[in-house]
Amino acid sequence: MAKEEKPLEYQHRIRETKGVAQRLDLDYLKRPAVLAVLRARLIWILVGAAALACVPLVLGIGGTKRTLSNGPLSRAHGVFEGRCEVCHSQAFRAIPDASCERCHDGAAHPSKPIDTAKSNVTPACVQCHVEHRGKVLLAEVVSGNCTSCHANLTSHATGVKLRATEVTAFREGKHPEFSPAGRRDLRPMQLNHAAHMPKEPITIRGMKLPMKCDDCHVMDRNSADYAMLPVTFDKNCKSCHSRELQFDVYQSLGPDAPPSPHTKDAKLIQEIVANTYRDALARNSALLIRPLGRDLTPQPSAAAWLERVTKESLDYLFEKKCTYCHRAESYAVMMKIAPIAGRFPEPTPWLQRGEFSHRAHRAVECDSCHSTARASTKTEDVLIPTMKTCLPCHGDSRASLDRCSECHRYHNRTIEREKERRPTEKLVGLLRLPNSHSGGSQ
Amino acid sequence: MIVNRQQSRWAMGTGVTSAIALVVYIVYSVTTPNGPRGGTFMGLFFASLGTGIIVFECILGLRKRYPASRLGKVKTWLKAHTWLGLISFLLILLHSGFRWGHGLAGALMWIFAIIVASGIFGVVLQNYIPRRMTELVTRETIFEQIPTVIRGLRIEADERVEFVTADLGLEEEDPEYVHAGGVKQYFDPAQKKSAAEKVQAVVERRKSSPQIELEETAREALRAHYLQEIRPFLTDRPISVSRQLFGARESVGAYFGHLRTIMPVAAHPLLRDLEEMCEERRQLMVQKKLHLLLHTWLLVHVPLSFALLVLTAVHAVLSLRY
Repeated sequence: MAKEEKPLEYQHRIRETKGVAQRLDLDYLKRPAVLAVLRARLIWILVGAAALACVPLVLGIGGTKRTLSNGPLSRAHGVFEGRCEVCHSQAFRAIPDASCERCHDGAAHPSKPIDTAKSNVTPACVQCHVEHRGKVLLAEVVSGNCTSCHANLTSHATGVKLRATEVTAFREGKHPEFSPAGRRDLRPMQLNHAAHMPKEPITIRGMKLPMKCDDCHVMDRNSADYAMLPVTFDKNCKSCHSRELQFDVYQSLGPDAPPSPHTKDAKLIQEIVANTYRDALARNSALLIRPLGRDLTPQPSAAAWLERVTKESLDYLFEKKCTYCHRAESYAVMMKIAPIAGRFPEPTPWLQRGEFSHRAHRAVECDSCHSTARASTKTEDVLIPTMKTCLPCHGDSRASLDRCSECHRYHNRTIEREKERRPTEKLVGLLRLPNSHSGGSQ
Repeated sequence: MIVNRQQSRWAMGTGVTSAIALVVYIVYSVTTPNGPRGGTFMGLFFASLGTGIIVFECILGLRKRYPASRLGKVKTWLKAHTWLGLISFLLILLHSGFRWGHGLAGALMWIFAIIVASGIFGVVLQNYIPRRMTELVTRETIFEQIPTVIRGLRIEADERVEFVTADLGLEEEDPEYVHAGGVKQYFDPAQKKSAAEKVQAVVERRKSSPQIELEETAREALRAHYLQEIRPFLTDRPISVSRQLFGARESVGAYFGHLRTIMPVAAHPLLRDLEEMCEERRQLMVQKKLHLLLHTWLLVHVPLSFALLVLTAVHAVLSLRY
């Protein structure tokens, strides 16, 4: 009989230190940790990828240079996008002025010939005109570039004759009053704005008053700043003041007598008046026996009649008619200067240092700025607004309209040749169109 | 690195340095007509400081590779790495005038931002996860040993289940490795042979017939539960069904509570052991998850840092060139 074996006793699981330790493999330290290996491989992959990505950058292959740009170029320089060396002509140096002067004229400061001061140091172009800031106008420089000198002008320039040498902002007390303030208009005219723009409506010589500003002051829409076209007699005054040119003092020429031309050439006027009477006499010899005013005596000859009528017509014209608008010492004085053209030079802008754009202000009523115009009775009244007029919009509005470059220019544009050049001339040698490269080696 | 009161001096130093840098920047930006830019003297000054710190940050790995070096404690280096890293990002922002930049500069800013964000994320994890792991994983083991421990659990479970089911017909490969707990030494070869024969005899008896008497239906039920649900969980990569079944401590308890209800009392000791092993396996699963969470951010932080170093060098040279 086989001996019956007892079943194996089931040992309950005991988790003691030795048992736990025996489950571990001591060789694990010799094997690289998965995460560490993965990390090391990723380092090499990414470093390699970064280095590879930089190769075209360093070699300047294709358009990769664009990625080095720290911002888009201004609109005017957009054609040079990706062609860094056009401006960055010197390695590891700031952009030289010569790079800018290939297209643009160099700096000429002060900007107006009336300013004779000379700055001690001429800043580099890029110091004020900062590129790579997107589609901005490079001409709109930050005021700090101006005030860095103009806040204490005497220490930055020699020969300073400006009244204000400490200009820090377009604010009361920080910017001088405009130069026309306190001045008088000494041009020999007798213009009365108040008479042309009475408060109550009235009709004179068939003209309904008050007139509007743009009846006389018309903006030139072909100019960049909508500069005011000059007020001329023929365009702006003749419709009402044509009788001021009537010289026929004795009514010899009848109701259809032609007026004198409105010209500064007194000699020409003399000739035209004389010729007009000569022609009239040739057509109608009966003029000789017609009384001349209160003088009932017929003239002895045609020449005598012509001389007298011409002289007295001219006297009448110059002494009675012209002086309706023009202030003249006497006809005799005027006649000494023949022709008189050039005696009174063409008017110069009142704001000689600033640049005012009527275009930018075309949405504003004239009265808003020229507030004294309607009440002005004298020609000598200067109707240019004062600084106080501009401040509500430009100085204190915080609308970023108080940049110096809004009104002032740094460069003396009058001596620049840039505007004389053809646009294509500036870009020759700089702008190579992509088509010109196709198939060629660079 | 644990952020605690011991680091208050570092935090204060970082705050003061940042404040000084900001004051200098404000003065510089107010006095510069065209605003702060990277290419100005002060812009390059901030860039130099920032880049110097970035280089220092990158050599932390080198310092760790030589733990016995006299160049300060690794712990100090790690603190400096963390706090100076924050300052370096501020310095680079001051260098760029708080502009993100385009092209290469923009890419550098993005990479740097990701590095800094991942670093901060890592510090937060290092302050949270170890504590959490202590709470959740009482059976923690060395991370690299987790597969070995799971294999040991699986073999042990097979042996114990064979007390009820006899041979399960499963063959487990037995790789050679050096057991940490040591090996019992026999000076007499005959004694060693005898011990091996005894073990072999026990194995053979266990495989030949059930050692715990149960009804046939209960035995088959246990075999089925073990092979279909418990054993698949005791593998390196348990299937999703098993992970859901034993996903929480309560789930494990509920599963084996149910088994104890349907199984005779004689099987209960075995079920208790299996429950313990499943719970240990579950904890190892949690440990693995937390460990990966704790270290995976380095896969972003470190490689990107070295890529940043390369790109920064190129950016510096080419920016100065133009």
